[in-house]
This record gives sequence, structure tokens and C-alpha cells, in this order.
Amino acid sequence: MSSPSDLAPAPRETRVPRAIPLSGALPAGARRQRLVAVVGNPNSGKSTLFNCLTGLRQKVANYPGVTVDVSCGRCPLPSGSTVNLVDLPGAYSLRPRSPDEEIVRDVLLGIDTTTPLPDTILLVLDASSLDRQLFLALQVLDLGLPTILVLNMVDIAREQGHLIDRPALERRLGVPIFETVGRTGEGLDALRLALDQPVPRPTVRPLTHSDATGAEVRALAARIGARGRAAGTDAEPIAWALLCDEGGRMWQRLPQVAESDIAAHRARLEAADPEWRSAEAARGFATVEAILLEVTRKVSSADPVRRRVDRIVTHRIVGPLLFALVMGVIFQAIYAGAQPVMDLIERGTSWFGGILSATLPAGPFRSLLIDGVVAGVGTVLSFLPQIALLFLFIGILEDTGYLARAAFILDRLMGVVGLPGRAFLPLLSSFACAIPGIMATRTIENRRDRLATIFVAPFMSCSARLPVYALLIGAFVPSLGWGPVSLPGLVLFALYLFGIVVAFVTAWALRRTVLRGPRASSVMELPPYRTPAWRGLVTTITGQSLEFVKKAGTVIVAVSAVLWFLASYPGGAPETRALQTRLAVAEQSGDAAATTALKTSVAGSTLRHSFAGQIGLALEPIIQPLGFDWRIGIGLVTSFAAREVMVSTMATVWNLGDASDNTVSLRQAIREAKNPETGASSYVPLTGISLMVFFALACQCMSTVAVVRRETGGWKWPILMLVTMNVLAWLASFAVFQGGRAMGWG
Amino acid sequence: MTPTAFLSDPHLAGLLPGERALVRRVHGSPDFSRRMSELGLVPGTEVRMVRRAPFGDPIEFVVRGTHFSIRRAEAEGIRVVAI
Repeated sequence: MSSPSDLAPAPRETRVPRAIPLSGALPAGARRQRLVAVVGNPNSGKSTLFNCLTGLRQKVANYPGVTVDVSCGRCPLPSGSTVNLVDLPGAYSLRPRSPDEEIVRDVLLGIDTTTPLPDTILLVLDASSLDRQLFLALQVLDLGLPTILVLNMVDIAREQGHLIDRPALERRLGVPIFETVGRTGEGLDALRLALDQPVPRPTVRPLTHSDATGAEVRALAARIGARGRAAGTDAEPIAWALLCDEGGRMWQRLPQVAESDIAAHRARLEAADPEWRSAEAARGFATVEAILLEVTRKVSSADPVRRRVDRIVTHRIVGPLLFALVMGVIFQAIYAGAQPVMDLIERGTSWFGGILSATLPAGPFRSLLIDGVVAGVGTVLSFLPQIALLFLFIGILEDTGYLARAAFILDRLMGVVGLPGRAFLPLLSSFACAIPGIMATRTIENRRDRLATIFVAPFMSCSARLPVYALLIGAFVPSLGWGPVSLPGLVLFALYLFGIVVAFVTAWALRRTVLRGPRASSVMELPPYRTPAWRGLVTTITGQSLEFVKKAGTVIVAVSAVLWFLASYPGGAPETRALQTRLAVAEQSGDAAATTALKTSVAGSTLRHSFAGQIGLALEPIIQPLGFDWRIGIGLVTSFAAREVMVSTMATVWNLGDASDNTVSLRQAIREAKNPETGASSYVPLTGISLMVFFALACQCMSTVAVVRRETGGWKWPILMLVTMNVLAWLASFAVFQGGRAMGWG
Repeated sequence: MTPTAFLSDPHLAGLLPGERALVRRVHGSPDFSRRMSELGLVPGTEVRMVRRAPFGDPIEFVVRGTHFSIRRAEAEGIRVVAI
């Protein structure tokens, strides 16, 4: 089969080999396969179509919410071969206003450093919104790359009375056009067939320039020449993109032109036609209107669903109340809905531990397996239902279009602290994990807005904090309930609220100090209401959950095993030996009470003299004012690998304290923890609250620090964030614990 | 036209919910006016003000069948002619 790249004059092998983003997503040798770029407006159903074509053969761009990163997948074709699909971020124009749109422009112009020039463009348009979205199509067709145009969601367009003469539109645009419904899979077979054939280059260049602009474009294109740009690309679209890239850094990608040259061309253009910036759109939309006059007929455009739903959802009083209710229901559902599954996983883990305990001979290996590995994995696995539920809710909110309404409602409130309404989605995603949240800030155009959002995103209670919250709430908060409302649920809600409040106060402070400046313009689309694309949702949630399990399977288990070692060795301290001798005596004499007490003492002594205990003891002076003992100190250290490790750390620590009985749950172990010397409770409810406050604010995640470094391009912001968050956490916990004690609690 | 008359030109934010108008010109930074034009707000295009957000800002408007949200301060830069 001849691929479109055969048409290119230079063989692709001469180009510098490039890695495809999210390396590991594609099999070895994948670069030799044809690459199809999926391009379209936000809300064109692009990602749903991508999910349908690739199914589970993709590397999920990690995160629900907007497509903030480039995801890749393989699409099987009728002939038995496959093509690689890359799902580029949604874009309104090839003249970028955000890092997201920059990626789209750079990939399509063949100047991106990580993704090679695609062989084919799959251009996805919402069939009911052609009068606006065709403008992007004109820009894309102007590139002259082999292109297939997809009119997506034709079912909705038909319902709304859009009649499109597809063959006429094909003739006008000079590209093959297909009609699809991504949600149901309608029209995808024909699309796969088309991808199996060589895709022609468009026969029409519908984007025109004025004489003055055209002259500068051609002059700059001549400077660019053939050297240094990807084979198969046209110099004129590159030149035009360069001229439009005012204040951008696109020129750095093209070594053959100097920034001063571009500025000179731009100055001449400015002199000849001061309106040149808006001319592209003015001409483009005139063309679009002319085309649509020929090929479409609109019977009616009313969207009764939108009108009726919006009247309620964005109502002055009902709207905000509904929003609060939706958020409240989500968190209650996460807490209550996940419980049965969590219990099941917990029971399964101890059942498995029991089997191992019965079959394996006693010794350090069995101890490692049961108390290190199985306990660690099991504990973390049991929080998977909560995480999956959260991703599900975020996905549903986004798919239905409610997320955009929430941002619409909240923009004014967010504005109070200087954040754009658009920061709402990254911040909401941060409830799942700060990493996708921070990456989702790429849709925020203004750098100051974006930095402020990145900085406060980790204050949102991520799913890794949930295990810790759940453990501590389970241990210290009585499960009182009033109808559907439960006290543990309320405490969880309060913790989330606490994170939000601190985030907003911090954002407010940042926007008045280091990030002072006006709020950037942010125009946001309010998409039509749609039923969720369940298939894509399931794909995303599955990918997310697998990712979490993988993380649990590697980092957590490794940390658990290391911890087991740290907590079990070196052993043999004189005090421990003395206690062990007394324990043996007590056991022989049948003194049950003494045996139990001594067992606890032996465990405590072993731990205190282990490597882990030494680290915890060293930390104790710093954290004692917060109500934390050295055992929590151990947990604080290990949780820097990932917050949820705190839970498996505590599990290891406490299971070692009572190794003979694995069925005693961790919650109970913590609640019943006694100081081996005094016999008093080690942890009072106030300790639990102080610890939860600490976890709510502290930056205890190496991954977050790493991603902030990557997104901000330096160490300044991650270090500032790390210091600020941990100092705040210490101060807040100090205030809670000391204040609480002064008032006579705990 | 006096500057006062210019400033009192009708703008998108000044429309009542449900009112329609034609775009005359988009004022603002080059970036802003370019993006507005790319979204289809070129001179002569019909826009319809839909509603204000619950807290008064931003506002929702329709252009070429697509609904957008925009802050009042920016919507004031979108000068219109009443139909």
C-alpha cells in the first residue's frame, strides 16, 4: 500500500528521529507506521472519535477533563494493518493563544520537537456548528497536507435541522468528507476504509490573502526555503504562521530565519495594511458563509434542551445552589458509594494473607510477604473504588457540558481571588490528582493566571490524600448519621473545603504580590448539553485506575518492602531481648494479661530500635508540637514518595506490632494504640485532626514537584511551592493541636 | 463623532438578554481582537446576548450558533449596531 508520505520528495528517514510523546505508548518500530493527527475545535467530539477508533489500544493522555496532553493510539484498519493516531489538543485556530494550541500548530507545520509531521490529518468538525468551525478547516486545508474531513455528531445536526449537501461540500473544499456519530460509532467503518487508502492532498486552498499580505508571505517563505523544514510541508503557511506569531517563540524552531527578519516583514505588512491581523478571519468567514450558502440549508436551529436546562442551571439563585448540591452529592457518593467495594477488597486481602500465613513456613520471608507486600498492596487497592468514582464524576460533568456552566457561574467568584473561571477545571481535576490538574492549566492562556493556578492546585485534596483521610476519619470520627448525612462524610467535606479555602487565600495573596497583574481575557465556549460518551469515559477511567494500580504495584510495594525492612531490622537491642525473655516466661506461666502487655512492649521496643524508629525519633522534636509521635514521623517521611504510602506505612508499623492477628484492622490498631510506657492512648482525636490538617496542606508528593518544574520550566516555582506549603501545614497543625489542647480537647 | 459619542456606542455587554445586534468592531489588545475574529466575530456578524451569569459577570452570547461566555469588561470592547 502506498502511503501519502511516499509523495514526499525526501525520505522521512533523513529526518532527525523523534520520540512520540508519552513514549512507550506505541510499539517498537511504530514510527515507520503512518501517523494520523486528529485535529478539531474543542467540543467537536474529537476525543470521543479518537477513543472509538483506537479503543483500548491507546495510551490515555492520562487525565479526564480536557485533553491537555497528546495521546496516541493504534487504529486497526480493514486491510489488517494499523495506523497510529495522535489526538491533538482542541484548537479554535492555528494562530495559537495557549500552549495547547501551540502544539497543534507546531505539529501540523512539522516543526514540533516531539511529534513528527503527520502523514494524514483527520479534521473533525461538529456538523451542527459548521458556520463557526469551518474557519479552522480553511486554515488546516491551507497547509496542503493529505486531509480527511469528518462531520461529527451528524445525528444532533439533523435533529436541529441542519441539512448538509456533503458531495457539494467535498467539491468546494477539495477533500473527502465523512459523516460520523462518535457516540454510537455510526460512520466509523467508512472512515476506517478511507484511512486504509492513500489520502489525497486537498485540491483547493480556500484561504486567501490580500495582495499586501500575500507579498510578505511569499517573501518570507522564500527566506525559509526548502532547508530545515519537514519534507512535504509548504513554506507559505509556515511563513504566514510566523508573521502571526507576534510575541511568540515560533521563530526559534526555524533556524534559517532571524527574529529581526520576521519583524521587518511584519512592519512592512503593518504599514501596507494595518488591519492585516483580522483580515484572515474576515476573509475566512466570508468564504465560509459563501460555501455554506451553497451546501447547507438550515430548517431550524433552536436547541430546546439547552434553553430549558440553562434556564435552571444558570438561574441566579437556583444555579449556585444546584452547583453546591452537585458537589456535595459527589463527595457524599464517593465516600458512601465506595465503602462496600472497599470492605470487600479489605476482606479479600486479609483472606489472602491468611492463606499465605497457613501455607508458608514462619520466618522473615512470610513476614515480608504478608506484612510488607500483601498488606501494602491491599490497603492501597482498597481505595481504588473512590478514585474510579471521582474520575467518573469529573468525566460525566465534562461530557454533559455542566463543567462549562460551573465555570460560567464561578468566574465572578474566582475573579475575587484573581483566578479565571477556567482555572476551575484544573482545580477540580486536582481533586483526583494534582498532576493532571497542573497539566490542565495549559488551557489557561495568561502566564500569571496559570502560575497562580498551578501553585494552588496541590492544595486541592487529591485522591492520594483520600486514603489518609479515610483511615483517620475511620479511626477517630464516630460514625453518627442523620438520614443521608453522616458525620464522617461531613468531616471529609470539611477537609475538602479547607483545602479549597487555603488555595483561594493563597491565590489571592499571590495575585497581589509575586503574580500581580490584570486578569487575562478568557473567552469560554458553553457547549450544548449532551449525554456522556460512556465508552470513552470507561476507557479513560480504566486507564486511570490501571495507572493507579500500577503505581500501587511498584512504588507502594517497593516502599512497603523497604519499610518492612526498616521497621524490622537491625533488631536484637538489649531492651528488646530482656522484654522477649520476660514474655517467654509469662507465656509459660499462662499469665494471659501479662503476655498481651509484654507482646505490645516487645513490638514497641523492636520498632523503637529499628532503623525506621530512629528516623522517626529524630523527627519527633519537630513534630511533637503538632501532636505527632515518632511513628507518624516515619509515615511523614515515607509519604514523600506518595501521600497514600502513609497508609501502608501505618499498616506495616501496626501489623508488626500485632503480627499474630492480621484481622485487626488498621483503624482499630490506631484507635487502640497505647504508649508502651504509660499505657495511655497514643493518639487522641485531636491528633487525628491535626494530622488531617497537615496532610491537607503539606506538599508531600515528589511527582507534583517534578511536574511543576516541567510546566514552569525551572526550579523557582516548585521550590517556592514546596517551602510555602510545608510551612503552612506545620503552622496550621500547630495552631489546631495547641489551640485544641488549650481549649481542653484531647 | 465626539469621543463621548464614541464611548457611548452600544456594546455587547449593554444588550439586554435576548437582544440581537451586528458586530461593528472589536476593541482590545491585538490578541483579543484576533481571537474574537477567529471565533467568527467579524464586522457584520449577528450576535445575540443570552444572559448574565448568576453573579452578574460574565455574560453568555451566541455567535454563529455557538454559545460563549465572556467577561463584561471585554464584552464592552465588542461594539455593535442594534438591528
